[in-house]
Amino acid sequence: MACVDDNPNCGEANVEATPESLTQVVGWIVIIFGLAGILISIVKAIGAITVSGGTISIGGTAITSGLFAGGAVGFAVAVTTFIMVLMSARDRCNPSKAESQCVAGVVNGIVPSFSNTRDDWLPWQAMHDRVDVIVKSFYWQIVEGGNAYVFCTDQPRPRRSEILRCYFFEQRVCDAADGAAAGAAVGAVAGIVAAALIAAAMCTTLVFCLLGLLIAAIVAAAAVLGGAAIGGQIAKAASENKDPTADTGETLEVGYLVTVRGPMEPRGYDEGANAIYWATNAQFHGLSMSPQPFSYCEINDEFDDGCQGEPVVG
Amino acid sequence: MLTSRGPLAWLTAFLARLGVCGNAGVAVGIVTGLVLTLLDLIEGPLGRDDSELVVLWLIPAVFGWLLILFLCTVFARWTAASVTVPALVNSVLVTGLTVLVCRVADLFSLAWLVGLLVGILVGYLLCSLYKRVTKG
Repeated sequence: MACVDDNPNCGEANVEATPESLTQVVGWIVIIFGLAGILISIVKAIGAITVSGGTISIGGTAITSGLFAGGAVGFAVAVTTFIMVLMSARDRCNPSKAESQCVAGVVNGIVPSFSNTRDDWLPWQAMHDRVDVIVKSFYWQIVEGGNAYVFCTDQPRPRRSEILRCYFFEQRVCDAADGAAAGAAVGAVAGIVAAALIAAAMCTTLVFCLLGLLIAAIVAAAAVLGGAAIGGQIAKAASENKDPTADTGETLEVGYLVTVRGPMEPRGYDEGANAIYWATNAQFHGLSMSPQPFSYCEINDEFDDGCQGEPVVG
Repeated sequence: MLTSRGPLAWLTAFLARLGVCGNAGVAVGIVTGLVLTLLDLIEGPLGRDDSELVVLWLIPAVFGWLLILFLCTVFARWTAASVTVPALVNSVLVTGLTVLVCRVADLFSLAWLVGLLVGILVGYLLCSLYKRVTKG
């Protein structure tokens, strides 16, 4: 089979875009810290808070000023960090509501969950099993939809092919994320208490108090992340590892010809590229006889895929 | 990835337009600003002594630098080496300008707001400068 005249629109589409995960965490920082700032400013403006001799009085209740400031910083940091873990857990456990798409091609690579060391430290960020599919050129329009970033093979044109990342839900990833969220909640409480105590102990002079507040912030974040790591690891250990499989039970491997269906959306985790997250259905069509490295040039005609007859929605 | 639906959508859309440096500046500005606000509340009023200003600038600058490194490596999944220097420049500028504005306008009680605005401004300018240099 000859290659097609069209060139794949590899990469580059949104290369200067700000990572979505960064804008969201900064968004939460602005909300939590902004609310804390507004609250403090209002309470001070109306005179409901008075400070004298290392003691702060809020509505008639007096506590050590360092304890109050450390608790406030610790609360803001711990809540923000906890929300990050929780949101990530929601993403790993709730199916996308994006429009379902159907693509077909050959499996070019598989990235199992927890294959990266950082996933052990940050289990709430672990990702489901990923199957990279070199799609038939007929489906390039889908992969490029919304001017998304496009992953491609390294081959020179015209054999260069587009790759679609297809995630397969794995309960272990969801369990680890949920476990991390539970651990983070426990860590947040401990972090706030520790932050308050640290600041209370260090607020003796201006410089020490400044240092104390910043250390309190670090300790609060570390407590939440530590709790998340422990909770995630415990949940992961109690859950079973399962490889991605086709509907008929075959464990997917490189070289398998497949049709994959599932909600597709651009994902910040994948550099803004469209990805099927996660596959709701995968058909196995046999092992490819094409030479490696694979290219759409052979795959296009190698098998009749399961999407045929379905409209292509770009 | 985190979901962007709901009340966060408008804010994340705005932050996306600010660029990476803008986001880093905002995070450093508001976090260190809130710490200065609290410090002003319990140890203040701040900024009466000029030597004190250097401490109020440099210690938060180091903290802000660590904060950006954390955000960029954990959430944006970049390597620490690739952001070390830009993060330091961003943090030093944002914290320095925040302290300066608070000192001049006697606004340490609102340092969190000053930090936020300075972070947006400095971050946006740094991103614009970076784009101009790389395109030139």
